[in-house]
Amino acid sequence: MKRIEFENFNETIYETLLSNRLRVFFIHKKGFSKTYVTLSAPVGSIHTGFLDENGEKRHVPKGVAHFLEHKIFEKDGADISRDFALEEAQINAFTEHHRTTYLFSATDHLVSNVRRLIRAFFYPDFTEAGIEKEKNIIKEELNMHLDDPYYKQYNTLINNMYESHPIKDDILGTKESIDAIDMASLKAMHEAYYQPEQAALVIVSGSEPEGLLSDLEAGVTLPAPSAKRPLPPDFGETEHVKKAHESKSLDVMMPSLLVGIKINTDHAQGPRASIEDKLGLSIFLDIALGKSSDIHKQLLDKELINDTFGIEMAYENDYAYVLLGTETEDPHKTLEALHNIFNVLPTIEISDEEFRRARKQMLGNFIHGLDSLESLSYHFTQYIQQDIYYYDVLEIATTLSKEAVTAHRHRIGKNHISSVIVEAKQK
Amino acid sequence: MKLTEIKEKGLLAHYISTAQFKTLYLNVRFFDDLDEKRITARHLMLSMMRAKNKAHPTRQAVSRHLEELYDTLFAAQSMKLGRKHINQFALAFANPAFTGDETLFEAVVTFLKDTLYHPEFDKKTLDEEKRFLKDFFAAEYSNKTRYAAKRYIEHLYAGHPYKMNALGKKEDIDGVTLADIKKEHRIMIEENSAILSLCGDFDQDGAHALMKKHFSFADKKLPGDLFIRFDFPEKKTVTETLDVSQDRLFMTLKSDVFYKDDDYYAMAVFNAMFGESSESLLFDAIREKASLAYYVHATYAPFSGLITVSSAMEKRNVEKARALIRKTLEAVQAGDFTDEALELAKNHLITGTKQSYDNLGLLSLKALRNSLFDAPFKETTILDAIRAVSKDDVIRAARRLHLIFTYILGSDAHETD
Repeated sequence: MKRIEFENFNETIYETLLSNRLRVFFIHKKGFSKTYVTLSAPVGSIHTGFLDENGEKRHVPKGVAHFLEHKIFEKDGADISRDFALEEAQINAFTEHHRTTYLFSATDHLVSNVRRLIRAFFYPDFTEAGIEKEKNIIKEELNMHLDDPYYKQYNTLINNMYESHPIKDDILGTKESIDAIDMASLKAMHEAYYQPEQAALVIVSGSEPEGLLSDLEAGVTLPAPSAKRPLPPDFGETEHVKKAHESKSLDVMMPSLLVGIKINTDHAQGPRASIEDKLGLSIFLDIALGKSSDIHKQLLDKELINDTFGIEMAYENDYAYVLLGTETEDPHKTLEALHNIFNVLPTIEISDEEFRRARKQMLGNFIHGLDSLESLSYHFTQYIQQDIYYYDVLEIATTLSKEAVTAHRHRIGKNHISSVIVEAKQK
Repeated sequence: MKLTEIKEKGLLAHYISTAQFKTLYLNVRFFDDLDEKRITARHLMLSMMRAKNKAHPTRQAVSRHLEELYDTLFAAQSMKLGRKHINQFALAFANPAFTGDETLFEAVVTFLKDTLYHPEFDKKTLDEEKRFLKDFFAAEYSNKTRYAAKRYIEHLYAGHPYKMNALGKKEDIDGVTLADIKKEHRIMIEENSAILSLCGDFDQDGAHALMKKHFSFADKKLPGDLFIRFDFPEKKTVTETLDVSQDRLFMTLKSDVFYKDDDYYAMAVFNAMFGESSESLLFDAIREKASLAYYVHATYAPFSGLITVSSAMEKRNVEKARALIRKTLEAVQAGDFTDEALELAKNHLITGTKQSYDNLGLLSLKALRNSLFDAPFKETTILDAIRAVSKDDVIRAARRLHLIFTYILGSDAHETD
């Protein structure tokens, strides 16, 4: 077991390898009552198939990763959430484009709850009846989103931004693809992606780690390596967006605008370079367009945005994008203004003052994250995939110079921008 | 973990001292009546105070200052608590020990002082906040789940001020003047009862001295009776139509069990067992067994004694779901549930209670309930009360409930089943 101290923040991480295969991280949060545990597999909606025993590419219906998420916690046709709940643990799970995470938060019976999570994750018990029953539940989940114009706006935008990358598809799949999912596709994807070597168990807890980790080692069996393997990423995506603009008329009273910028990450090879790239871009965008920027002030003064204006960034190994969104009375005018801003962005200068403030902001933001076990676990998991401890990210950020951050002003290419306007449907 | 309440002339404060957190949480809550005529001005006042103040005279200056204070998070919120309207100003900030900047604590307190006592009420900001608030109300219609919840409350509380959004009334926005805002500010500072709350790892004597130096509120007790006792509709169903993919269903069960009632914990356990978690009877019946819906929740509101069940499903399944919800309630009233179901419900509440001590915002809320009506703050007291609830207690609580109201927001497609 490895023990790493992060003295500046008075926190300790323990790291071990279960059965020499499954990576386990224990973040000790002294004084907390709760333990928050996640086990994640590197499979999400962008993983559309697997390599079979002969190394042949095989494809599965859209939405399989999310469907798996619904079925992992089932045993003998019943949901094992009950077994967790009887031992003071509440389970949940979520599917992202590139990862599926299973979790529980518990206040007692840590060892048996963690063992139960590991067992469910590696040894699911699918039944035909259970699979059929789930289809209607997932379709109702989809129906719920269909009544949400912002969800439609996001899905339309991502779909217009990407030519071939499967990120363009809804994480849930479509009603047709959900119907096409069967036992064979679920089992095959599970075998290919839910391998101990690819998974990470992250425990954030107020409890003492020593006993827990040795108890776990004694009581866990892991599945034999599978002959099925993940599909190597080969998305062949273009740099430019597929479609630059779309307007939709929906049943809303407040129009809104969502702009997506496709970010090229080819130059950022290796974990450290890619984290520097991500942080640099994020700091740049915040200084240039964030709440304290001159641009933000001008947009507000001209009534082109309101207090819902926000910037988000997604940055993974094989895709990255920035989203800007706002509700606005005149989304066309706002869009025009944003395009004008993108045109002048390459000439923006960052003052020493702004840069110094951004650093303080970053430190504060990091400290906030330490008090939320959920947020800490999420960030930790995200970075550990690249073999970087989240606690080291702040250090990486502070090595970025003002010049390095400013260099990101050239990242927003003209034909990398796509937008979706949602307007009120005429009745 | 220690809770200390200090009452002095012009300052009621509670301090929750615990070493586990690396941030601090400071807030002030002002209590006003839920008053239809003033609520919109109250909220606009609050959002203008959030936007800027004399020391930081633009939105940009406020944003920059908060960044300078190591990303201090500043939230100004209006909310309803039973019959009261609360304006809350809350700051979450890094513990100075981890920033290497010992001036941070006093700087945050000073910022709160500037916000409360040196507001900058001008026409430009009022107009901006009016625009934001109008946009907010227009956007309420966008998400149909949220819109359905709003309509449900408006029907259920028709004739009671609780039907209003805590942010005010759309139709009153235009009429609010700067004079109204200034008047509401004066009422808030000089007449409303207020409580200050600080949670985290700090030196209590030093902190209290600083609070005394900067803050003084009306010398008034916290409101006594917050509970809503109202002539709710009886046996009423309202159906509204809209072009939606799935129907939204709300059902209201009424009781007379409020926060301090002897049956409060019994009702909380009943609600947990009935529909609060994914181990609940409703979740099992509606989602797991019948596959009718993706979600179903029951929420107990101890300020009104009501339990609301909400779910969403295809139109053809609405009647099935309604029947299952009624049947599930009747089964509990008849004592037809397992010991395991009861244990799961208690575990759900026990886990939730234990976890609530890991969250600064929830701790502050717990301390507020303690100040308002002596609700227990100590973990063991709450856990013991939950553990003591028996099967008979739950049956008795369930029998104090009856279905009074159903609201459906659905498409006008013909039923196919």
